[in-house]
Amino acid sequence: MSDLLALSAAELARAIRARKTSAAEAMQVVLPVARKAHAKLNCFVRIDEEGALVAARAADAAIARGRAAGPFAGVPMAHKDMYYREGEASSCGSKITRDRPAPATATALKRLDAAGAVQFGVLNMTEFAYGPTGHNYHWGHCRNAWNPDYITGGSSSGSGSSVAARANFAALGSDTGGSIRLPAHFCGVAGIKPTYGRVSRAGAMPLSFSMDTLGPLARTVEDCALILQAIAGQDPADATSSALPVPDYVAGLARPVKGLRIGIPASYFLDAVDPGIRKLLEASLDVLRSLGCEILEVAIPDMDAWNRAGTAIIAAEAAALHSNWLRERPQDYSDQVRARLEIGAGVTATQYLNALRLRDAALKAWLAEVMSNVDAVHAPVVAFATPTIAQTDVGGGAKMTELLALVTRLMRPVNFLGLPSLAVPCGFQPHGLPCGFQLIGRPFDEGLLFRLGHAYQRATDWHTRRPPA
Amino acid sequence: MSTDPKQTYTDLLALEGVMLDPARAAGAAEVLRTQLEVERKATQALAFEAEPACFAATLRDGSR
Repeated sequence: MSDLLALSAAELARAIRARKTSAAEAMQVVLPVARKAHAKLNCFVRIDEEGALVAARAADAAIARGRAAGPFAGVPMAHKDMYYREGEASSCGSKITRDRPAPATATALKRLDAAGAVQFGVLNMTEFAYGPTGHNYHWGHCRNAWNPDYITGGSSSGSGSSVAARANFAALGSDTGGSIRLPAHFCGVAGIKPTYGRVSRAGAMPLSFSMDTLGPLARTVEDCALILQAIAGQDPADATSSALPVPDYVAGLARPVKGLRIGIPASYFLDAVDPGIRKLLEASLDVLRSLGCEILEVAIPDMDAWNRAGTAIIAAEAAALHSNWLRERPQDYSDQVRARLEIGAGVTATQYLNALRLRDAALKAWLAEVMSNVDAVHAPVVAFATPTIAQTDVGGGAKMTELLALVTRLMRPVNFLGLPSLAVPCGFQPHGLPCGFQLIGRPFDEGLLFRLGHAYQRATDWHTRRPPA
Repeated sequence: MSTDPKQTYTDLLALEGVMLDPARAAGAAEVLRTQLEVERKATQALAFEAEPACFAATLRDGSR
């Protein structure tokens, strides 16, 4: 088959199942591209070429024997280097755990293995997933496939960069304060931050156990739906995973979107949006309107307090998790992560607990005041034009807090509320870097977000654009 | 302890066994001060009985 790299993960899986291509052929095509992309973008931590080819041939043999192939049988994937495989080291983007064997395999990886995906590498990420720009002072900064001088967003930097570069068919990321949606926006790919509890966190590096969510970044919304289908659902190894049944996301993609009500926030999300981004957001709303969606303005509660409460929760929980290393190996952290952990170590118990107490009232207010009127909220992912790596290279210095607050401002309240949010590419900013919008849904309503995002992608071609080779 | 916020912050972390870089003490103390101010405002209207554990149930019940 020609140009396998033009296929989405779902399309490649269908082609492999139909014997139009093979897992081995797909792997042989993607590996040199991954090598080349890594040389330019620093998006991988490790590529296991030999193991990947052996696994791909085994997948082909299983398909040839007529053994039931999973939805991703033979599809090459690489994931953020914080998904543990028992006995293997997961760097978590850090110096501290780079040689530490993982205690157990992540449930999400086990489920993707069962779905037939073939993992061929692990991806660069922000140190301990604690940073939104994609800088990494231990493994090198990850670079944007559309222009290597620009940031990828983080913390799932390698996930966004490798998928955008067509060096990877799909990747798992994690989102505690925007770490899936930011790289999706900056790199021009789709990404879903699921509802808190929808995907088991077992075997994935924790940053903030009250806010961490796991999900995919992929070329299409359909891919995201398929991957979430594979990894979602209750897991005895994660007490916070939800017992609610996982709907059939893929079947739901075909349902019409006509008549769905989409809210535009009357405040907060659209304050001070860059004109180039605003234009793209408005164009994306025009597309959704043309598909029969009703677009209406919705009043939004005070998100600023929720944003700050979310910041306090993450800071305190991260500092607690890192307290031993922070005492014993502070020099092994980058300045920025160390500075943020030091701030977290000073969060008082009452501040932390009140932030957690506020969460329930905030969610009730959001559901009553916003989601009672609309099916989803449409909002920017970030409000400013994509900056360069150099412009955002603030380390742990005086500008750090302001910059990080700016980057995560439209993300963190959604994590605080525990809601699902889908990032979808919607064009290019005036300086050529991609742009996305986010659709925020009701709890556990990822299916509706996929439906809207898929309909949008069927009406547009932004997701088919490829960055320069 | 000192009445200087940055020294107080440094001392607090030292009690936790964390050695704060002196160059960052003022910034960290200021971040904490701002956070506490916002937290006070945000939780003023919070019910006396509000508990963190209620959040999971609201999330579950908030689904369609």
